[in-house]
Amino acid sequence: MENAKPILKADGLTKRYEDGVLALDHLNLEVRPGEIYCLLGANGAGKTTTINLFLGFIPPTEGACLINGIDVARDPLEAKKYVSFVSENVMLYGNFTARQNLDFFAKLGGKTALTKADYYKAMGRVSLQEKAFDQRVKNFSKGMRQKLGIAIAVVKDAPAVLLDEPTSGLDPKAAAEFLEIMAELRKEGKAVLMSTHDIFRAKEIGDRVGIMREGRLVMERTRAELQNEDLNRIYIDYMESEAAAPAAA
Amino acid sequence: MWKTIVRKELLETIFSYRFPLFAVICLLLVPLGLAVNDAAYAKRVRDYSDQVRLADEAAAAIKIQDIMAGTVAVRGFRRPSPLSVFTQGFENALPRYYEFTQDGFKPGESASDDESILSVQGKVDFVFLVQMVISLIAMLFASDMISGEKESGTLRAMLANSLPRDSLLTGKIGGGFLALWVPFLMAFVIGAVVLMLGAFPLAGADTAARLLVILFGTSLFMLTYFTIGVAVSASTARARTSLVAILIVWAAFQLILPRLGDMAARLVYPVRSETQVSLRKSLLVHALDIETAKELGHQWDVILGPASPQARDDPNSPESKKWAPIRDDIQLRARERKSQQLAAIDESYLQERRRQLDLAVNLSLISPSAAFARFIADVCGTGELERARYLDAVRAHEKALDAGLFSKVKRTLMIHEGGAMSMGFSATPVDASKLPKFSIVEASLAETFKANARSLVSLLVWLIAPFAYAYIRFIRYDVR
Amino acid sequence: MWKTLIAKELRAHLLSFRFLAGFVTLFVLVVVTAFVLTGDYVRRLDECSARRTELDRYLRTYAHFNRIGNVLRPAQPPVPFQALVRGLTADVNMEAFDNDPLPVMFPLIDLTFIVTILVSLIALILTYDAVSGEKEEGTLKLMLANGLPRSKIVLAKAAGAGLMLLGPLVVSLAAGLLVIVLDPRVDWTGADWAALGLILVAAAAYATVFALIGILVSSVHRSSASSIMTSLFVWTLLVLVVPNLSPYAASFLSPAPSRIKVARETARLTDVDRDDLGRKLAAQYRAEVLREHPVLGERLTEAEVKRRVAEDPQYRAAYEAGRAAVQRAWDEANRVQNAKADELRRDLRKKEEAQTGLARAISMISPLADFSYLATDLSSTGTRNQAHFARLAGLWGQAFYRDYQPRKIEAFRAKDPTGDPWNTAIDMSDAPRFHYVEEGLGGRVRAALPPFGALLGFCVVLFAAAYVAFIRYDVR
Repeated sequence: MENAKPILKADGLTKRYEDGVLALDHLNLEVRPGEIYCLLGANGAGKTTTINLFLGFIPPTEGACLINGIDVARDPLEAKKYVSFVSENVMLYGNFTARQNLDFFAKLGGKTALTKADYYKAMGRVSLQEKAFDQRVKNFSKGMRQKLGIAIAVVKDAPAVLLDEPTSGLDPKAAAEFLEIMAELRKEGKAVLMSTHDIFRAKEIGDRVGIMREGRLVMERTRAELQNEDLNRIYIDYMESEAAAPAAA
Repeated sequence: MWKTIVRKELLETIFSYRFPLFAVICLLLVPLGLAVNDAAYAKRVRDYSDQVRLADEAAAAIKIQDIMAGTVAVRGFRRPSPLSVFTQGFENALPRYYEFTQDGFKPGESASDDESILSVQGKVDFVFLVQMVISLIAMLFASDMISGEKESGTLRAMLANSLPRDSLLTGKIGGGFLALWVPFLMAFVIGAVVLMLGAFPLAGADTAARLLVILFGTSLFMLTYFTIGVAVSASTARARTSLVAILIVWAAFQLILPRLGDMAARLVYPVRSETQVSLRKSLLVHALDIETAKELGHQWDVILGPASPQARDDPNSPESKKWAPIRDDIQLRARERKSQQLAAIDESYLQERRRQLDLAVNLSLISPSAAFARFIADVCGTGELERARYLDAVRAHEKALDAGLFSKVKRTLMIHEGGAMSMGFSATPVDASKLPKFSIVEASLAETFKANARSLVSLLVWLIAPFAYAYIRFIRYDVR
Repeated sequence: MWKTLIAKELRAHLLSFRFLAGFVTLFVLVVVTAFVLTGDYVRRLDECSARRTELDRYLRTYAHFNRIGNVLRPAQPPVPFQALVRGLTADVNMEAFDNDPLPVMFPLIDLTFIVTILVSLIALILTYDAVSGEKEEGTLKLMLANGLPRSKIVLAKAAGAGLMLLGPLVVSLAAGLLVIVLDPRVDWTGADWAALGLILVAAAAYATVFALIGILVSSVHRSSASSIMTSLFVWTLLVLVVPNLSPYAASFLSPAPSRIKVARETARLTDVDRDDLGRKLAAQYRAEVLREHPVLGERLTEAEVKRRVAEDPQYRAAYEAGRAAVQRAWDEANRVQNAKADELRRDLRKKEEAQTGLARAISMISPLADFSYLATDLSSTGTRNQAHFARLAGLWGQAFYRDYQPRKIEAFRAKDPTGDPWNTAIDMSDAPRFHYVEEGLGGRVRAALPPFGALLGFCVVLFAAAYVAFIRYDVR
C-alpha cells in the first residue's frame, strides 16, 4: 500500500554513545503497511542500534523514531502497543512449555482473552509440531524457538513487526517456512522491518532493501529495481567503496 | 498486566531447580527446630516447678535462729519463657535464680551451666534458621531476578511490549517473594501444630498475638532480604556478579556488622568488669562494717563498760537506756553511709556500661539482622527487656525481703578496745509463710514495640531503601 | 602441561571480582579481629591480676573457712592464643555475660569463625562453576578437543583452587599475626607458634575441602545457576545445620541425667542426710565417751568450761576426747555421704562423656566441626582444655581442702580449743594458690589428629568423587 501512512518511521535518527561512538547517523527510513523492509549491513553497521531505538531500549541523541505516528522516546508504552519483536536468539522461559510462554507473552501484549485453542492455532500456523506445544522450551532446537517467537508476534497481532536476524542458523526447510509466514503477514497488511545478513532471502522476500554502513543508510532499492541486479555484488561494492554517499530518500 | 507478571514469576520459581531444595529445607528444619526447642523448654519448666516447690518448702521452714546465724538464703526463680522455643536469646544465659541473703543478692547458675554439650553448640531455633539460612536463600532467589533475565534476554522480550518498568519490578518482587513465602508459611503452620501437640501453652495471655507478630515480623524480614537481593541484581549486569555481591552483603549483614558494633563500642568506651566492681563493693562494705563496729564498741565501753553486770543485762537501767538510742543512731547512720557509697559505685559503673552498651546496640542495629533478632527476642521474652525486668524484679524482691525478713534480726557487731569482738542480737518474730513471692512483670506487646523502636526503624529503613534503590536502578537498567 | 593448566586457572581467577572481593574481605576481617581480640586479651590479663591482688587482701583479712569456697574458686586465666581464637570461653559465662550480652545472640568473630564461615564461602564462590562454567563458555570442549586428558584437567583445577585459596589465607593471617606480635603484652611461646602452624595447615585443608565440594558439584551440573544453588545448599547443611543438630541427636541417642537433678540429689545427700547421720553418730559416740568420762556430764557455763580446760588437765583430756568423738562422728558422716554423692557424680560424668563423645562423633560429618575442634584443642581454648583445667582444679582442691584446711584448723584449735574455726577470720595468705599451666603440645596435637584425619579423608573422598564425575561429564 504505497500511499498509506508508514507504520515504522525513522526521522533523522541519530545515536551517539557515551564513549563518543556514532552508531547511527541521521537515519531516514519508512516501512508502510503490507511492506517487508530488509535492512542489510555488516556487524556494527547500526542495524541492532536501530532496532533498540525503535523498541525504546536506548534514547536517540537526535531525531525520532515513530511507531504508528507515536514518538517512541516520548511515549514508549503507547508506541510499543503497536509493534511485535522477534529477536535473533528467541528468548523464552526454559522451564515453561511452548503454550505457557505463548500465553505469558500474549498477555503482556495485551491479548488477555485468548483461549488454548487460539494458542494452538497460532502455533500450528507457524508450523510448530503439535507434540512440542506442551513440551518445555529448554529442549527446543533453534528453528523451533524461532517459530515460537514468530507465533508470539502473530498472536500479539500488532501492525508492525521487528525481526533481528531471523534466518541465521535455520536449515533450508525452516527458512522456507519462515518466508511463507512473512508473506502471510505482508498479506495481512503488517509492516515488517527485518535486519539480516541473508542477501539471498532478502532479495526473495523484501519489498525494499536497504544497506547500512557505519551508521548510515547508503543504499535503498525496491524489489522491482533489484530484479535485474546482482544484490550480492552491490552489497560487496558498497562495503568496499571508500566514501559511501547517503541514499536518496 | 501486573497479575500476569506475578503469576509468571511464581510459576518460574516453582518450576526451577532451587524451589524444591528450599521447600525441603523449610518444611524439615522449621518444625524440627521448634520440636527440639519445645522438648528443651518442657524440661526447663519441669525443673523450674520442682525447684520452686523445694524453695517454698525451705522458706516456710525458716527459723529466727537461722537468720541470726546468717545462714538463710532465699531463692527467687525465673520462669522459663514459653516463646523461647522460637528464639533462645538470653534464655539459657540468664541465671535461673537469684539468691537473697542478709548481705544482698547474687546470681545463681544459668541453664547453660547445666546443659553440658547443648550449650556449646546446638543453636537450631527458629530465629536462627530464618536469620541465617532462609535469609541467604531469599537473597539467592532474588540474585538473578534482574541480571539473570537480562542475560537470558527475556527481559528485553518483556520490555518490547507495552509494560511499564515499575509494574515489571513490583510484579517480579511480588511473585518471587510469594513463591518463597508460601512454603515458609506452611512450615510455620506445621511447626505451630507440632507445638500444640507438645508442652507449649498456646492459650497464654497474648501468646496468639505474639505468634502473629513473629510470623509477620519474620515474613517482613524475608521480604527485606529478598528486596536487597533484587536491588543488588538491578545493579549488576551479570548474574554471576550479582551472586558474589549478594554473598558479600549477606556475610556483612549477618556475621560482621552485628559484632563490629560491639567491638567498636568496646574500643571507644572500655569498661571495668563486674567482678572488679563487686569485689570493690564487698571490700568497702567490710571496711565500713569494721568502722561501725569500732564506733559501737567504743560507745559501749564508755557507757556500759563501767556499769555493773546487772545494769548491763537490765534494759531499763539508766545505762542501757542511754546506750540503746546511741546504738540505734550509729547503726542507722552506718546503714545510710553504706547504701550511699555503694549506690555511688553502682551509679558510676552503670553509667559507664550504659554508654558502651548504647553505642554497641546502636551500631549493631545498622544490620537488619541484628535489629530483627533483638526485636523478636523481646517479643518472645528472651531479650534485653526480659533481662532488665529480671533485674528490676530482683531489686524489688531484695527490698521486700529485707523489710519482711532480714531486717527482723539485728546483729550488732562490736569491736572493743584491744581488739576483742562481741555480737549483740535483737529480733522480732517473722512469719516465713507471709514472705512475698518472686515474680517478674512481663512486658506487654505495646511496651515491647516501644522499647524496640530503634530496631523497628532500622528494619523499616532496610525494607524501603533497597526497594527505592532497586526501583531507581531498574528504571534506567540497560536491557540490551 | 601442568604449569600451563595451573597458570591458566590462576590467571583466570586472580583478577576476577570474586577473588579480589573475597581477598579484601578476608584480609580486613582478620586484621581487625586480631586487633580487637588482642585488646580483649590484654584487658583480661589486667583483670586477672587485679583479681589476684584483691584476693590476696581478702585472704589476709577476711577469710572464713565457711565462706572461702566461693571466693577461692579456680578461674581460667586468659591464654595467649586467645588473641586469635576465642574458643569456649566465648560461650556464656556469668561474668562475661554481665559485661556483654551480645555474644549470646550473634556468633563471635575470631579466627575459627572467619575460616570456617568466610573461607569456606569464598572457596565455594571460586569453584562452583569450575566445570559447568567452562562448559557454558565452550572452552571445555575446546580443551578436550585439543587432546587434553580429563584427569589432568580436574587435577589442575583442584590444585589451582588450593593455591588460590592458600595465598589470601597466608597473607591475611600474616598481617593479623603482625598486629598481635606487635603488642608487647602478648607472649607466644614456641609451642604456640607450632600450634599456629598446624592450625594454618588445617585451615588450608578445610578450604580445600570446600573447593573440592565446589568442583564436585560443578561436575554434576550442566548450568552454573543450578550449580551454585546446590553448592550453597550443601554449605548450609555442613556449616549451619549439621554442627547444630548433632548435640540434639546425641542427647536423644545417648541420654544423660539432668545436671540439676543430680546436683539436687547430691546436695541433699551431703547436707540434710549428712546432718541426720552426723547427729545420730555424734550422739552415739558422745554417749560412749560419756560412759568413759562421766565428768563431762556436768552442766557448766562456757566461761567455766574454759577455766576448767585451762586449769584441770584431766578435764582437758576428757574435753578433748569428747570433741574428738564428735569430730569422728562428723567425719564418718561426711565420708559416707560424700561417697554416695561421688557415685552419683561419677555416673553423671560417665553418661555425659558418652553423650559428648557421641555428639562429637556425629558432628565430625561436618568439616566445620572438625576444624573447630582442631583449632580449639590446639589453642587450649576448647573442651580438651576444659577437662585439663578441671583436672588441675581438682589437684588444687585436694591441696587446699585435704591438706591445708585441716592443718590450719588444727593450728587454730591448738591456740584456742573452744573457738569456732569455721566462722572466725583467719589469715590465709599462706594458702596454696591455683596455678594454671597450658597442656603440653604433644597432648594437644594428639587430640587434634582425629579431626585432621577426617578433613584429609574428606579431601580424598571428594577428590575421587569429583574425578569420577568429571570423567563422565557431558561436555556438549
